[in-house]
Amino acid sequence: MNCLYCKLAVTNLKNNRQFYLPYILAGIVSAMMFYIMRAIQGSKAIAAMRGADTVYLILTMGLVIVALCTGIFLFYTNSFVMKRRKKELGVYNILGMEKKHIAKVMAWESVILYVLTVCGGLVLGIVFHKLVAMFLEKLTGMSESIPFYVSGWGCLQTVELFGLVYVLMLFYNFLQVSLANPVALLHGNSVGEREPKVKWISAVAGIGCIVAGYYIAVTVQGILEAVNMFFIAVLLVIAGTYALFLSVSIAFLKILKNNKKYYYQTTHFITVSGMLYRMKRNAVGLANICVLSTMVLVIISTTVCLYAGVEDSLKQNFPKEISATQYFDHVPARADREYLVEQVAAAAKKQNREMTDVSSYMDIVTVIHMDGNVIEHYDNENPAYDFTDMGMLYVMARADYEKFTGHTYEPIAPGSVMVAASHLFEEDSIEIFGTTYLVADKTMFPDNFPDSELQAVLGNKQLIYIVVEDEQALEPFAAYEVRHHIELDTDGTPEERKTFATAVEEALGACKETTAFTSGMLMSRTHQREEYMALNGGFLFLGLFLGILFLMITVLIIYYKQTSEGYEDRERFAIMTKVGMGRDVVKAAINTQVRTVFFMPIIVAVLHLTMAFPMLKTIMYVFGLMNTELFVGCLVVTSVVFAAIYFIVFRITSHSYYRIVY
Amino acid sequence: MSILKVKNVSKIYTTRFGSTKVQALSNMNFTVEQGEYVAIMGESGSGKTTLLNILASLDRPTSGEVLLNGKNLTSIKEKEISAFRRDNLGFVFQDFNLLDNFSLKDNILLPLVLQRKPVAEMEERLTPIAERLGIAQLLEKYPYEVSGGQKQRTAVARAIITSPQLILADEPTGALDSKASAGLLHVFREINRDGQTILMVTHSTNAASHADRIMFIKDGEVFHQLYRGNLTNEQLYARISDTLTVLAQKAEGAQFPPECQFNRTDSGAGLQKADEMYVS
Repeated sequence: MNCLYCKLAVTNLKNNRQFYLPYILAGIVSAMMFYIMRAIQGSKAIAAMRGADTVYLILTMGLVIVALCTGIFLFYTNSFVMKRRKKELGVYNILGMEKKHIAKVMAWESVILYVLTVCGGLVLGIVFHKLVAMFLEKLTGMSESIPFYVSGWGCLQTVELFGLVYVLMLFYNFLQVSLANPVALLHGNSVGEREPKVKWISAVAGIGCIVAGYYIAVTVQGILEAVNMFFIAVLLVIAGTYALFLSVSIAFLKILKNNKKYYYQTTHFITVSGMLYRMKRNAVGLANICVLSTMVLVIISTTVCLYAGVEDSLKQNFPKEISATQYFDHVPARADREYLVEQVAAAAKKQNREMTDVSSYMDIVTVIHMDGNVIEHYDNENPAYDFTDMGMLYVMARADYEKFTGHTYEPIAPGSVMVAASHLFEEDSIEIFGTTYLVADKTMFPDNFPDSELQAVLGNKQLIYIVVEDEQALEPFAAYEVRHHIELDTDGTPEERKTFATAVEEALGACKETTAFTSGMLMSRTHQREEYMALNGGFLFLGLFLGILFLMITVLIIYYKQTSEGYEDRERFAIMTKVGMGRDVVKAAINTQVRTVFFMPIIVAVLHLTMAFPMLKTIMYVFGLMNTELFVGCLVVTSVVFAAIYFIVFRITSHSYYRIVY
Repeated sequence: MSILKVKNVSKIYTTRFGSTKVQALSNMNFTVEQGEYVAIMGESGSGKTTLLNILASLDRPTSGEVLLNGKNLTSIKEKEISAFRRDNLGFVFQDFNLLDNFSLKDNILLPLVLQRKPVAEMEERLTPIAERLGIAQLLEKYPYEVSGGQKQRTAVARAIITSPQLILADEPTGALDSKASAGLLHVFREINRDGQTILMVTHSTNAASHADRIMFIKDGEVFHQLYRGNLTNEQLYARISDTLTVLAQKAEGAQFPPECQFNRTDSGAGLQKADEMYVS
């Protein structure tokens, strides 16, 4: 008896292969992706690499997202395919098959689909695992190579995940079939469509959401604000997008329809009314495509940009190969400072390294709140202050500042200071922590001042340099954080540079007692490069993975939409032909309709991307990327490539659409 | 003046690889005069739908010609055929074939929109027709909201709004209940009285009994014809029933001579003659 149900299930799948083939394909690709990611995540090589924790975290995030998306998307396509099959199941029911027999057939179908998907996915996953692993290694610059192996956990978890999803889908289908009566199933396809009503409120709300989201994205200042507002802006725009496709488009079409002069022309007549119905049915699908497309564009362009911009970021954030800082609680004597520099030189000699461009300078930095020309301490406790009121004060001696900026300045009289800020300081006197000074000279920041990241983070104008004449003039500020910086470039291979950096760190550490600094820090560009590569490489890997996954889902949604619409439209156009519409008029009408519906999501997606640009740019600063041109370039290239792929998908699916309609 | 002339039309369907040939129509010959109301009756498989498709210019005959108002349908180019259909023919289908996404008003106006008529003229034409068909109150409704009878009347309105030379109706009462059916046939009668030529294909004896002339098709040929003369609907109904009975009882091979036309003024003797001929 079971043989019969099994055979019936196989026949069903074969007959409906137009729908099931893409479904199976997508399932296999998802399973493959999940397995590969799981296998890579669990490998020892990942645990051994520098920046392992970050990469592991990224991969875990990726797994969760892939699992979620796969689940959602399998459900979505499942309900889609079920809709078309309702009629078939209705016939079975009427011919005498009881619901429980239908259930058995459906169960067999699910089993077959599950086995095909998971087996195909695992086989492909095992085969391509090494390839993908090599790609990840190349991207992140991993030291250890991931060997070819079959991940037991990977297989198990793939089987579990997909098993869970398929079981849930099966129960959902059971529910659908058991609740419906056969006649309803039979006529499921031809239920009359209600004319879409205009929901003015949601249309206006939708536009409002999008405008609000755009406004936030464009006017955000500084990283903290950007990160905080990012998710709000994203949610607003997503909600607005759905409302856009659901209500705004219908409202717009209705307006067109009410304009009799416009409406009662042949092509308009057919396309406007056709699209009114299309919009309502497919609004959700179109909005999905739009949101997914935007996500693909954002994810891929940002991760590609991050990776491409690594060298750039490194140069920006670490202008010199090695940068060492010692923190003092007093202004260190000249002798101490020179001693430290000598120690570094000695370490270089021992390591056989040639140093170039050595510079050392001193500054004092503290957090402040600036109001006009009054500088006070930033009071953490004071509830009136929030993070946007924070500012930074740097105090430097003139000699150091001149070295630092490469300009010379006039000597500064005692009791006076020079003020350098991001904007020209207006006042003639300035009060700092209770003491008033005269402002001898005012300049603007140089381009390469330190802590540029900080300015990006704070994004406000409360960054100020106070330049005093000499070290003695620094004394009043000595209670705050006094820093001594030593920066240098060096030669050597990356390995040699790393060793050198460690040696310098040790050498300086040994001076702690003698020169009396409280703590020290050393940054080496080569070390940082490894961290950056691990992080950004990991991100790029994840970005490409997810980008491809979302792209695949988008393509599938498009394909299914076109096919189902083809079947719906076939009857309509047959009737119109009978009533006297010529083939070319029909073709023209179909063309306009297909084109408009197809390109609306991507146009809106590109618009979203453009408006998100300011916010994304600011967030990139968190990862150290300041190169705006590179980012714009990445955005443009990604958009163009995506548009090209979208267009190809358009041609292929409309081809199948025309075939169905004719 | 003959509005429609069908001369030696035959249609042979071949399957894709040419293995099976089906002769749907063989040597059809008849004429329809201006202002006539003709019903075509026949069993399933007799060729009614094929004939209708050919008359509607949706299909081409394998041989023979169809002349509508003297113009040869088969000689019209593919590009112009839709325009021709739109301007000269009106259709009423069994399953209404209204478009779901248009209101009743827009459904009726569709042919005029295709003819690119100005809005004012379209609405001018619409009002009297809608009134006459009793659907004036329903114009803003959608097909799924109205009954079968109302849908069919909308389809009739769509068919007549272009003032076509000929209306082709394929089982117009097939999906209607008796009341709606009666209403529709009444409408047909009315527009026929105003001069509209109607050609109706039907299974239903009741529907056929409203026509002026009934043609019986069997195996792709015009088998027999019946004229109303002075008969009432009920009498004509009886005549048709009898014809059908006779036709059914006559097994394969029994044929009435094709040129067996009966005089219009002949009031009641028609069928008897046929019987006599057979018997002898």
